[in-house]
Order: sequence, then structure tokens, then C-alpha cells
Amino acid sequence: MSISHQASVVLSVEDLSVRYRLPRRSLFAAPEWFAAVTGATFSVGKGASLALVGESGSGKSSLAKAVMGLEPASAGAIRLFGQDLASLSANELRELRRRFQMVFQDPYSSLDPRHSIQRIVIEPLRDVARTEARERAAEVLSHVGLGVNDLGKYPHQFSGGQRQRIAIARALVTRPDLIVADEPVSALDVSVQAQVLNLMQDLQAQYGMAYLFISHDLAVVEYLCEDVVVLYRGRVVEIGKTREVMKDPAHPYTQELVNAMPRLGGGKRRPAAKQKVRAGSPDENANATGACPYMSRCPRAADVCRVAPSLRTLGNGRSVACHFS
Amino acid sequence: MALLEVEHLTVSLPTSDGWVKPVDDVSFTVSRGEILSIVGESGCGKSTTALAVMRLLAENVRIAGQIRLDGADLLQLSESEMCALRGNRISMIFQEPMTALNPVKTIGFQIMEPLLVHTSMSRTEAREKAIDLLARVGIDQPARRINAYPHQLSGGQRQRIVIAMALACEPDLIVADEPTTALDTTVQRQILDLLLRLVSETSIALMLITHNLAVVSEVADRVMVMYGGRVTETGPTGDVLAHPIHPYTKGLIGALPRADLPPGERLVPVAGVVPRLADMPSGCALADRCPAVIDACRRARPAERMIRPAHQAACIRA
Repeated sequence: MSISHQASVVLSVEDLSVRYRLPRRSLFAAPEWFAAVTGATFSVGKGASLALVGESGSGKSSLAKAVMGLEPASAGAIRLFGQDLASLSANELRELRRRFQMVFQDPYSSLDPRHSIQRIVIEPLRDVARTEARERAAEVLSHVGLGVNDLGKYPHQFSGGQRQRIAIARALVTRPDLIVADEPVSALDVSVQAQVLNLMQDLQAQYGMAYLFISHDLAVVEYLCEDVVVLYRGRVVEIGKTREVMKDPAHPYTQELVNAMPRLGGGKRRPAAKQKVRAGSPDENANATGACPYMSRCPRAADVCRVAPSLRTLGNGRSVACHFS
Repeated sequence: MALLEVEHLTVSLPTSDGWVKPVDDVSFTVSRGEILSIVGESGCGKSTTALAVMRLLAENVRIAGQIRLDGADLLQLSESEMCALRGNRISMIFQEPMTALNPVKTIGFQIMEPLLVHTSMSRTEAREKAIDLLARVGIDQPARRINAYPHQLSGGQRQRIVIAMALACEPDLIVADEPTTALDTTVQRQILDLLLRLVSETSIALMLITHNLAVVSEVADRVMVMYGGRVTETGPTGDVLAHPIHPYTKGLIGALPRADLPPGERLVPVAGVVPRLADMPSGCALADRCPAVIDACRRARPAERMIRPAHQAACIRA
């Protein structure tokens, strides 16, 4: 992608694959691999917000971990601010980390219960003087709606929503250019979810950082993110402006996903005709045979789908991996 | 007469702060062929209400009020009488299908179990019925799949098995506690369609507990909103969602990211967080968080009042 060299791109993911080793079937068998992500390409511009959506097992969390350098890429490249993640030494990576931070799904397991809020929030500020670090911590805490007197408290003294605010404060304290958030609101109740979403939007307006936002909830994605990448079984099937993708999904999987979204105010649904579901998981071996991974579920599947389609640009920022669109 | 009539249900729980009431004077009814949705955030008492109806609460919990099924008060039954009802006339669907199923028994065994316990069916008859149930919940090749173990199925299929178990004895009432919360959106759609179809085909009454108002909007005939263990608003789903009366219901709707929101529009949730049960205000439970609060709200607990036909709210400001 040519734009990846422009200064306005904070993250570019190029033909990225992530795979995990499966347990050997026997002592002498060759190791088998599970392809979590295959050939993903997308980029996030400065101050932009991009969502990765897909069902469980679609590879969204593996992609986020690879971007954070927590999971090695088996092929392809991840460039953060123009630097190839794989070429960095551990020290260089640590240095770069202050520019990209992560917020995890579960605010109960992502905060060390034995550390005070001050220690949790200033931990990324290793080389900053203690008094300045404390000032910065107080500042970010006030931005997420907590106070200076919360600095001495411990995680168990806070509710789930407050903990997620603390996790966001910790991510903010280094003034990063990119925040990778893996399902940051899905463990929260709707009122608290709305408070955190409003906060994330305000902070972006104020600090101008970019978000890579991982979610399974299309309504949340539509609210927060301008652009969306739809993943299915580790492959990018559609990229575009969120509102346009939601209004007029091009890939059959995106169509299924958008249609399945429950909506407020649509009135009671008539029960649909009885569906038959196949037992067992869908086409585990699609990646091995090279067919379109969605083929077995797709209403439009045809012979041509035995060869996986590549991502084609439709114009206006929309790309789709389907032979029929 | 409605199938299920719950009157003045109060559940008291001993804690280190003394007795607290996760469910506080709750009354509602569910009729045959009706889907009633109980909605609210964590800690509002919706699951405790469901467990009280099933009489599955712990021994040290005090339950007051009446829970009548076809006129008979479930709270007066002995445990063995209750056992004869559970899984038979009333059954439950839980949120997490993997923990609701026994991992070391085949799905066939688990669907046959209520039939063998509650009916006089022979094993052969129960097996045939189980195959029939698997087909009804949309499992392909049921005669083959009946010997499968839960780990061999996907999450959506497991929830179908749990639904088949709940249906086995043709119950009058099914209590479903967040049945689709753990599932992917596309699978959630299939399971909701399945529940809708089952209720429309039979005269089952369904009590659907959920935190998701969009799900409520699509499946429920009536909705009951709870906050702080109390009922804040009850009414026909379309009316409650289009014209909410109680500030808490308005906050729940305002908190939802929706497709029809103009770009850049902020969400308007209820401010603050749910207080601990022991700290619940003595007047209106929402008083400390409500944008419309006045002094009178803190003095006495608001009674449920009929504001529009079949649409009640417990708010003195309505």
C-alpha cells in the first residue's frame, strides 16, 4: 500500500498472517498449524478510528495482539509510525510502546489487584520524574472522571466501569498516538458502556489519537468508528466507511452480520421459517483447500468460490473479497 | 387468569451489611403464549426474580409474597413437589450453554433425562422423543447427533440442546436468563427466531431475562424494567420503547448506540453507577442518579401507577 509511507499513517498492516501451533497428533507427526489470521492488509490514519469486527474465532484478537507485538506474525509486516515491528530490538520496542497502548476487555484481570491506582497509571512512565509522573496521573484520571484522591486506592475499591476508566487512563498517560482497544466495553452495563464510549470519543477529540477498536457489536462500532474492517475466519472480507458498510453491505457475510443485528424500534419480529443448521463447526479445512472460507455458509456459493477471492477495491474506500460483488 | 402471577415478591439476603433486598416488592404476570421480557442492568434483581420463580435460591434466603402457577402458590410447595414441577411444567434456559450441559454425558442422555424422570415413557420412547426434539430445535441429522457430546457442538448448537431439554416435557412456562448473551450476533438471531417460533407454535409462556433492549424490542410482547430490585416500568414493548415514562427507561434507551443517531451525537445514559444494595436510597431507588429528581422523590417510595393503557411506571414525576 502506497499510503503506508505517508506520515499520516500511524499503523499499517501488510499481508499479515498469524498462526498457532496445534498439539501434535503423535510424537513423530509433523506439527500442524491453525491459521488465525491470513493475509490481512489495512491501515489506520493519524487521529482515525478503525474497527475490526467479526464473530468469535474471526481472528480479531489475534490481529490486535500481533499489532501490539504480543504475538509474532508468521508472514507479512506491521508498521507502526513507519517502523517495521519485526525489525525492532526489545529496547526499541519498549521505547516505541509509549506511542501505542492497549486497553483490554476485562477490567478485572487487566489491573494488578496489589498495586495502587497511582502505581498502575504511572507504570508506563518509567523515566519521568516521580512528581511529574504523579501530576500526569492526576491529570489523566481527571480526564476519565476520577479524582486525585483515587490515586491511593486499589482496584477492588472500584466498579467495573471505573476500572475500565483506570485502564484507559493508564493507556493515555504516555500520550500515545494509537490506542488498541480489544472489546473495551463489552463487559460493561449499557449505562456504563455509554459513559465509556462518550469518554473515548471526547478524549479522541481532545488528544487526536487513533483507535484500533475490536468489537463484535456493530452498533458500538457504528457509533465510535469511522472505518470498519470485517473479518471472517481470519480473512478480511470487507473494508469501508462504517456507515456505508452498515447501510449497504457488499460481502454476503457482512450482509448476514448486519441483518442479524437486533434493532430497537423495529417492532416484534415474525418468527422466521425453520432453519436447518449443520452439526459440527463449518469447514475447518477451507484454509487448507484454498476455497472461500465463507463458502459453506454462503447463499450465493458457486463453483468459482473453490478459489478464495482476493480483496478488490470497489472505490470510495470500499474493498470486498467476494467474486460476486 | 394469567399462567404465572407473581405478587409482592420480596427476596431478602443476609450480608455483612445486614439484610438486603435484591428483589423488593415485585409483582407481574405472564400469560400463555406471551413473551415477557425483564430488563435492567447487573444487580437490578432480574436474575434473582427468575431464580425465585424457579425456587432455585439458596437456603439462607428469605422469600416473601406469592408466586402462583395456574393459581397454585409455588412458595407453599415442598421441595419434592417443586422437583416434580421443575423441568416438567416450568423449565429454565441459562446463559452459558457449556456450563448448563454435563460434559461427560451425551446430549441424547441429557434430553431424555427429564422425560424419564417426569413421564412414564420407556427408554425407547424417550429416545424417539429426544430425536424429535433435536429436529424441532433445528439440529440436522438428529438421529446421528443424539450420541454427540457437548464439546463436539458449537455454542449455538449447545444452546439449541439446552432449549430442547427445556422443551422436553412440554412445559407451560420457560424462564430464559440471558439465553443469547454468550452467542455471536448471527447465532443470537437464529436462537431468538427459534424461541419466537416455539412460542408461536405452542402456548408456552416465556419469561426472557436480558440486558439488551434491542433484543427486547424484537421478541417481547411486554417488557418489565427493573432497577434496584424494584419494578420501574411495565407495558407493551412497542409503547415502552417508543414512549418511555420512567427516567431510568429513558436512560437505558439513551445509552444505546443506534443506527439512527446522527454522526457525532452523544449518548445520554443515566449518570453515575448502580449503588450497592445496602446503599439503595429509601425513597425512589433512582433518586441519586435521576435528572428529574425533586425532594418528594427521596421521601417515599413511588407506587406503580397506570399512565397509559396497560403501561405503568413507578415515578411521581410522570
